[in-house]
Amino acid sequence: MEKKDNQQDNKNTFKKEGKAKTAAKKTVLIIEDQDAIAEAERIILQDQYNVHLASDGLEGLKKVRAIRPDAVVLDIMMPHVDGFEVCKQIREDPSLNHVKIVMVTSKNREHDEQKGMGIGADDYIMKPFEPVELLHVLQQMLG
Amino acid sequence: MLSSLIVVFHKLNAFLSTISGELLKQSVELVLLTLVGYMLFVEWRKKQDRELKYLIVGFFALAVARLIAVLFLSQAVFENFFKLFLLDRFTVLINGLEIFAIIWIANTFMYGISDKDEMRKKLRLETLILILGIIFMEVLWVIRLQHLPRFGFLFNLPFAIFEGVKLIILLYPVYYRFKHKVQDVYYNKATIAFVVYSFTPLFNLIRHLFFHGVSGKLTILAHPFPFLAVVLFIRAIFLKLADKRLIETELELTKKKYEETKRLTRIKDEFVSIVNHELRTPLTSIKLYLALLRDKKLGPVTAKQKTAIETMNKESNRLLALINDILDVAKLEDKDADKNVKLNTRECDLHTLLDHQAYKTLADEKYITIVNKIPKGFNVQVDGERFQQIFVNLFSNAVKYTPEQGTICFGAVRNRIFKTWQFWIADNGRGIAPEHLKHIFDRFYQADDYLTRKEGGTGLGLTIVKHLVELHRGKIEVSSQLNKGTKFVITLPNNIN
Repeated sequence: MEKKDNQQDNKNTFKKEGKAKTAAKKTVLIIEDQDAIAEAERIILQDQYNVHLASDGLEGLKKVRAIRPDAVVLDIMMPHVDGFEVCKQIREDPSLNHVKIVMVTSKNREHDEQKGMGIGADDYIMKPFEPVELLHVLQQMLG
Repeated sequence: MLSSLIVVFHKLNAFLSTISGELLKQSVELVLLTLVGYMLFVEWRKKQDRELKYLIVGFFALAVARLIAVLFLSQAVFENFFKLFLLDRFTVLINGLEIFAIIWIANTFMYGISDKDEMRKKLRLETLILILGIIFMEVLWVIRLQHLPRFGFLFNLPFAIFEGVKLIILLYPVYYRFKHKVQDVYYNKATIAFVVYSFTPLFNLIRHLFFHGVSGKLTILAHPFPFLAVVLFIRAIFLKLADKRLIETELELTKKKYEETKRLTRIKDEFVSIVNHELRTPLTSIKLYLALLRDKKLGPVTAKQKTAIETMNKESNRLLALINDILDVAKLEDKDADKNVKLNTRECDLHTLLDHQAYKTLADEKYITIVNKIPKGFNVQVDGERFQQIFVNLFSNAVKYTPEQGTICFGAVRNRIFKTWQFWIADNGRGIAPEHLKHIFDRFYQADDYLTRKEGGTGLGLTIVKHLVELHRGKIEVSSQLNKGTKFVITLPNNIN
């Protein structure tokens, strides 16, 4: 009984702390067509950021304009509209100047790194990556 | 025997000098030229080739000239010898046609070895000049027939002009061939044909200039050459057509090979893309969820589960290493590796570059001593990341073959004379048997299957090393003694650019 009460208390405390943190938390939008990866990224980031998900480029562009996140974790290989196009359109919109973009790819690094950086990505992370790498890149960018 | 042959030759020449002999000669030439023209036409229908088209025009024009001659000679032979003057009336036309033909043939022979546009312009200009020349000659001919005595220099002047023009046109390709020093069987044969053909106008020119157009010996001498030249032209054209067919066959084969290579490259690209995306993507999920489990983000983990997670993580790392190696080999073994794999070369301090804790950890498990003999401040021009890849592969290989408490030593020296530098890495491990040594840079070659299974490894590491060294314009050598150790030496230029 005591244990259950303790757990309940902990949960309440966590919720309160969570709400307090939410106010200060920055927002990250994950644009990733692979549900499993998107979910894992959400779990990694949820403690420190407000996380939103978009499952393809089109949805991602809509959500960027609606949510106006602080950072976008952007997959490159996506159907219909790929990560490069999403990045380009974000950079073409002056009202989204503040949005930091981290590109996530599994393609040939030399080429994509140059291309991504060329069209306005702020950083780059290569699949597969460790959770700490993603956190580190975002912390470097968002402080 | 010889005297009887000379008699036959004289008789034959004497016959050829008669109108009947001329008719026979012109008829044979007509048949031969028509055949050549037809042969070229058949070839041209298969492949619309400008050179062939010009030759067809040339040879048919020559054939038409012979046809006109045959028509009038046969009229003279079979009806009335006195009608020969009719042939005389058509001399301008026949000679004009012959000049037109040799202009086209000569230019076509030069066409393959000269500027095509320039040659086409030249051909058009020469044809225009010829038409004007024929009009002028026709006028001259009428004046000659009406006003000049039968035997005289001026009476023979039109003939001399015709022969002189023919001589110049026939000898120009010969001059052109020697000027451009063309070494080609086809052009050599054609050149001989032009020289042979030119003897007839040469003898005729001499006859008209110095013998009032009448010289039995010169007439006889001039007879056989056009015939011989036509035969030689046919030979040259046969060679050209055969050569063309050979080139076409080779071209067809090359085309097929190119298509096949393109297909294989596409398959390879698809394979690389599949390996890259389709294998790395699920591996990303696996590794991320393993990390989340390990970090207890998905709930508490028991000790047994922790061990299982560590094993899965280790195996997924091995899988990732294999995928990376396969992708590297695919990229580096590509014919265009030089273009596709860009080296980011910069000045690096080799001592610092290779003094990395991660490598030491590899050796720590086996209590191996590492000795870095690279002098501090040993600056070299390399792609730092790629050279670390070379080092990691050689180092992990050395760790694999070195027993516990062994030693791995590496260093670098400069060769100022050859403007190169060498990196070497040596271990005191079990060594590699001579029969394996020559294959160790081959793909998937494992010198020791048991050790590979135990220690891991894809059999691609040394292949990648070799390609990366070559990409740096260097070479790698290996020496080994069983149970004593192995040494790899990489030689690289000071300036790889």
